[in-house]
Amino acid sequence: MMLFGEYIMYKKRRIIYLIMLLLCSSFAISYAQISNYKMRTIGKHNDEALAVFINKDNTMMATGSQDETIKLWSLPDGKELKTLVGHLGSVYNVSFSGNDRLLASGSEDQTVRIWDVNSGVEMKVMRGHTGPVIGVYFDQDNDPSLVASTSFDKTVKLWDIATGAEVKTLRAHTAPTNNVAYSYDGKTIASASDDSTVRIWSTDLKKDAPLMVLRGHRAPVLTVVYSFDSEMIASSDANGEVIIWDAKNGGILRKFKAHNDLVQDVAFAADNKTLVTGSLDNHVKLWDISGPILLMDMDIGVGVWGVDIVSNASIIAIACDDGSIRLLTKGVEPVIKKGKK
Amino acid sequence: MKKILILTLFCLPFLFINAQSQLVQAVVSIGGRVYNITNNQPLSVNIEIFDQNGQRINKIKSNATDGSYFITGLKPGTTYEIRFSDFDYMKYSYSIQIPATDKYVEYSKDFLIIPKKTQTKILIPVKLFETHKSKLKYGADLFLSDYINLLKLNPTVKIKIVSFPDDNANPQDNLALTQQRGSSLKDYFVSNGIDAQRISFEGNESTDPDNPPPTGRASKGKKYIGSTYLIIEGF
Repeated sequence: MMLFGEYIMYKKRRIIYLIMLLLCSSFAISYAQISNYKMRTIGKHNDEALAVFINKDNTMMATGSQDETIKLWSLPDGKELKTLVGHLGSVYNVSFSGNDRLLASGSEDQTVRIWDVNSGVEMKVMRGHTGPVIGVYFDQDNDPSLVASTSFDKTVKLWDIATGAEVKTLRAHTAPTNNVAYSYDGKTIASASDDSTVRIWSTDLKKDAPLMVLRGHRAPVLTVVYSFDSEMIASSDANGEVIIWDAKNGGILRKFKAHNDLVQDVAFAADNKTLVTGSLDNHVKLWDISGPILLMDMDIGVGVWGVDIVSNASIIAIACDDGSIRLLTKGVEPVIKKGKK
Repeated sequence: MKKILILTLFCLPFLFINAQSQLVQAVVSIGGRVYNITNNQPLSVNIEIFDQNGQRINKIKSNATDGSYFITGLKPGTTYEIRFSDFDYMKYSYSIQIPATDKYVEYSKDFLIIPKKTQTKILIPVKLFETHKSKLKYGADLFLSDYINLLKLNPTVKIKIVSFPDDNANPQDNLALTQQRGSSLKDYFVSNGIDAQRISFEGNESTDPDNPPPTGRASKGKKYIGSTYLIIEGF
């Protein structure tokens, strides 16, 4: 039997826990409010917007849509600059080259296309995948030479952008490959797949086998991205989980349930610890991955297919399933130093 | 002895030049996989490589286990034709221009080959039409050129274009739309040199049972346009 004194102590402890919990929650709410991102819709595609990519100097972004077009927008003002037409199917992904001069797009029509950003002219149509192209990512070198793509045909392909030639096919995934990312040091490529793995490949074209197979997701992995220092990889899956991996050894640094629905896109800010996630649960969230600490949670009201963030995290770009392209623009710098873990 | 020495000295520069040119003459290789278009299974088929003068320079067979093949000894800056001419499969040809390079390079290319069998169903993997429209989309010629080449290389093959609608709203409208789509595609083939007698078409009142429109959550992010198939009717 519990003595009366022990009972009082037990109750006290519970009250203290409750107070601590309330405090933590209020800090988290305060942080999200003080982060003060304001949302505005800058334009619309004629069908679901599936992807967004901000260029390196944060002056432009590209969006891809089920309406088969790509749109270029200026930043920070959000003016629609150009509509690029040519694909014969949904544009699933877009990526700027490291020097911001070229744009790659991947489409349901099984092609990877290269566009000149200034003129909007289609420079190359690269055919070789035998399924829809889901992911594209440019080599982030200042003088880019390659673009990587992933497809429902389970492969990762590398294309020479000067000649349009298919220079490598990487095969090891056992299910469709969903997305791909180039490391910023140019040494590796990461691919995400329905086989629930992330595979790391060397950019040395003589190597065929993956350098590492990252296992930890329990659902199809939808996207993958490197931090700007190439030290970490973030991936997200169809269960709403996000994993932060050590890019050097493949170890799991953080694993957390970020959303209640699939997370189609994630992006790092330049500090390499702020991560934005977007989900079909209608939420866009900002995380400090060192916790992870939830810095901001905004209900967009529609499903989110694509997110990207400018270097200093002051603007988040969103591609929505109602076709709208939205910007979350930060008003005031947050001052509170604590948040919910 | 003196003569041999003179001869050796005389030949040395030529040997040196030859060795140098060997170093400069880079070699290009191409590798990939060959699959059956109907089931994506790897295929073991004969592959022939012809140079731009029509001279056969190599003949290999793809690996039965994984469909892999590897062709080497190709010269930079040259155009080659890779031909598939197995008895059991439709003839297929792919022209590849090897970019100019001064170092060893490997290129990659996968092939989908069509079995020579009546009623083989080939799904055209791109959306040739807009929703509820029957006019071929701008840019469709890039993809349709593959089928024109195929029909030209296999001149006895007869095909049927089978088109499916984008929804199940109105069966009569759907039939009319899909027949118009079939007709558009046939006209395109005919205008590109294919005999009209080789092509028939068929419309449908309802959506493709083998590739139905996604419903509920699965429809998110997917735009459904009715499928178009080419069915091999005879040889």
